[in-house]
Formats: sequence, C-alpha cells, structure tokens
Amino acid sequence: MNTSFAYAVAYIQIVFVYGLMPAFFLRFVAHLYAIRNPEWVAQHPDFIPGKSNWRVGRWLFYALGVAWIALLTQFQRDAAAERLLAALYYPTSLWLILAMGYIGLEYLCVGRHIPPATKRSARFARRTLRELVHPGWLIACYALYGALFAAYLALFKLGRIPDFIFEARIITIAFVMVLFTLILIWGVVRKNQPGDDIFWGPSSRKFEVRFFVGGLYFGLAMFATHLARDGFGLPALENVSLFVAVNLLTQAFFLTMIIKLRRAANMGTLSVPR
Amino acid sequence: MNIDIDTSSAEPVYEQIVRQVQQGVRSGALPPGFALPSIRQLANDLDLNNNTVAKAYRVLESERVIRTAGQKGTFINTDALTHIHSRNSQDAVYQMGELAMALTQRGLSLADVRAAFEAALAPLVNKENP
Repeated sequence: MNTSFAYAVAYIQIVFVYGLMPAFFLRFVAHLYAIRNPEWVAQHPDFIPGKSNWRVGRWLFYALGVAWIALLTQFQRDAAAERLLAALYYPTSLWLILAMGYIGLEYLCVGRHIPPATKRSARFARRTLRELVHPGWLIACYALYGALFAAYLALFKLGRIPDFIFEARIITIAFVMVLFTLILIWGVVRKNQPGDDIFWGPSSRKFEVRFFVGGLYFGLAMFATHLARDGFGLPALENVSLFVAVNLLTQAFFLTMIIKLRRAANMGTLSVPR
Repeated sequence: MNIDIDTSSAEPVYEQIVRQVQQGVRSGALPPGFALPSIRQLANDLDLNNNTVAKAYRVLESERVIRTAGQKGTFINTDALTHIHSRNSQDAVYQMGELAMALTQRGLSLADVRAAFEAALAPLVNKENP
C-alpha cells in the first residue's frame, strides 16, 4: 500500500467528516426532534434555535478537524507506520463517538422538552428479527463465532498461543459478539423514527439490521485473520489496506447521507435554521 | 395496516385501538392468524403506556377477537369476524332497546317506535337495494 495514498485518504476522510458532515448532521439531529411534533414546534418558533447546540457543535467539529489535519501532517513528517494506522481510524471513530454524544446532548436540551404529538400512528404488525434477516445468516454467523472460540481454545491447549494473546482475543471476540447482539436486538425493538424514511425509505429497518449482521461477519473475518496469524503464522490482512478500504467505504456512505439530506432539504422537510 | 391514535379525542385511546382492530378484521386487513405486535412494541411505537395497550388487548381478548398463545404471541382469532358480528348484533339490540325505552317514556306507542325505526332504515334499505 502506497503510504502517500493512505495519507491522502486520511486527509480526505477528515475533511469529509469534520468539514462537510457537521452542518448536515447537526441540522438533521435538530430536525429529528422537531418532527416529533411539528405542530407544537410551529407554535413555538423560537424553541429549537434557542435550545439547540448546533452552532457550538458545528464549530467544535471544525476545530477538531483542523487539529486532526495538523496532527496528521506531523505524523506524515515523522513517517511512523503505526501512526498512519492511528491516523486512518481514530478521527472517524472519534467523530462517531462525538456524534452519538451530540445526539444525547440534543435530546437532553431539545428533544425531551418537545411533547409527543397528539395524533400518532404506528404499523400494526409484529416486528421480529426473522422478518428482517434470514435466520440462516444469523445461525451460521454465531456457529462460526463458536468455531472461532473452539479453535482458540484448542490452540491454547496445544500451547501454540501464549496466555495473554488467548485472553485478549477471547475477551475481544466476546465483547464484539455481545455488543453486536445488543445492537441487533435494539434494531428490532426500537420504534420507527421519522428520519429513517429519509435515508432508506420503508425498508430502513431491514437495511439497518442487515448492516449490523454485516458488522458481525466483518468482525468474524477480522478475527479469522488474527487466528491465522496467532495460531499458524500465516500473514494477516494488511491493516493499512483494510482501513483504507473501510475509510473509502465510510466516505461513500457519508456522501450518500449528504446527498439524501440535501434532497430532503430541497423538499422542505428539514425545517431547522441554517 | 396502521393504527392511528388521537390523544386529544374524547374517545379513550384503548377504545380507539379496539375499534381499529375490529375494523381491520372486518375489512380483511387483519386476517385470522395474523400476528399482532407485542404490547410493549405497540406502546413504544405509539408513545403510550403499556397498560393502555394491555387494556385494549384484554378487551379484544374478552370479545374473542384475538387470542394469546403464551410465548408465541397474540394472534387474530380464526372466527374473529363471527365474534365481532355477534358482539355488534348484541350491542345493536341493547342500544335500540335503550332508545325504544326512551322514546316510549316520551309518550310514543310501540307502533310509533316501530314506524320510526322503519322510516329511519328506509334510506339504508334503498341504498342496499337500489
């Protein structure tokens, strides 16, 4: 993997998530809470501009983006390979954590003060995981995770991997499994949000749940490469290449979100201040 | 099918749910064996208290429109339509009886009440048999 290319991807990623995304993301979050009760929001036009943190949030993201670029320039000057990997995934990971935090903060300041609409509607049908994803995919996935556990245990008993690697891998695999399982359950039980339809239409929940199942399989593939390296000395997937690919996919995903949000804004469904 | 509720309406929310499920069964949108959402799911989706949805389900169960099959969930009864029809017929007899009683207390004879019912039904009969 060409290092300059990897750095270029990292720079573009920072410009993307810290430069282009915040304005759309923050408006969208305010919009999500506003459309809980459009009538009430229309009767209180100063409520969201007065309570929303979107201006502060936006400048915070810009400032962090500038800081990341400065840091990345320093990394590139030092030419340290391990820092390149950090530069590739830390900025996006931090962005996602901040985005989640902002959604929570906006809920505390804005969302929870908006009363639910008097007229409400819901689809009258049972929601089950089975309807959203074929059970075979999940059974196969968990069986493969079970096999992974068994393989690590067998290699440990045979003395081919040291204690600390065995413990670290088992804990990480268990953590990923539990985390994704909880996210999957949440994907089924959470209530429909009006914002869901903006991105993926009526199939949004199906898309979301399948995306999480994809995450489980992605984790499985990652752990399998680690197993190959830990137990058999086979070359693992080159981390930088993998993260460049993931970053490019992330950028494509964010670009799709921006285009869809722009379309929604043009249709006039985004009603929060610019 | 969607369930729409209006919390500002004079009709209690649980009755709105009961009425719409019955309408769904009558229109065929909720066929026999149809799996209903769980109480928690519907309450969560509609921003309601679990007890409100539970009350609606209890009423529907007592009217034998739905049946609960333990862990499997709640389903539309196989003969829900018959039960709704029979229940509505009983309600009609009761409500007409009350009205007839009120009319006789105002001094109308039974013949007058019968004539009034027939006159009220005439437009509906004409609509059914044009």
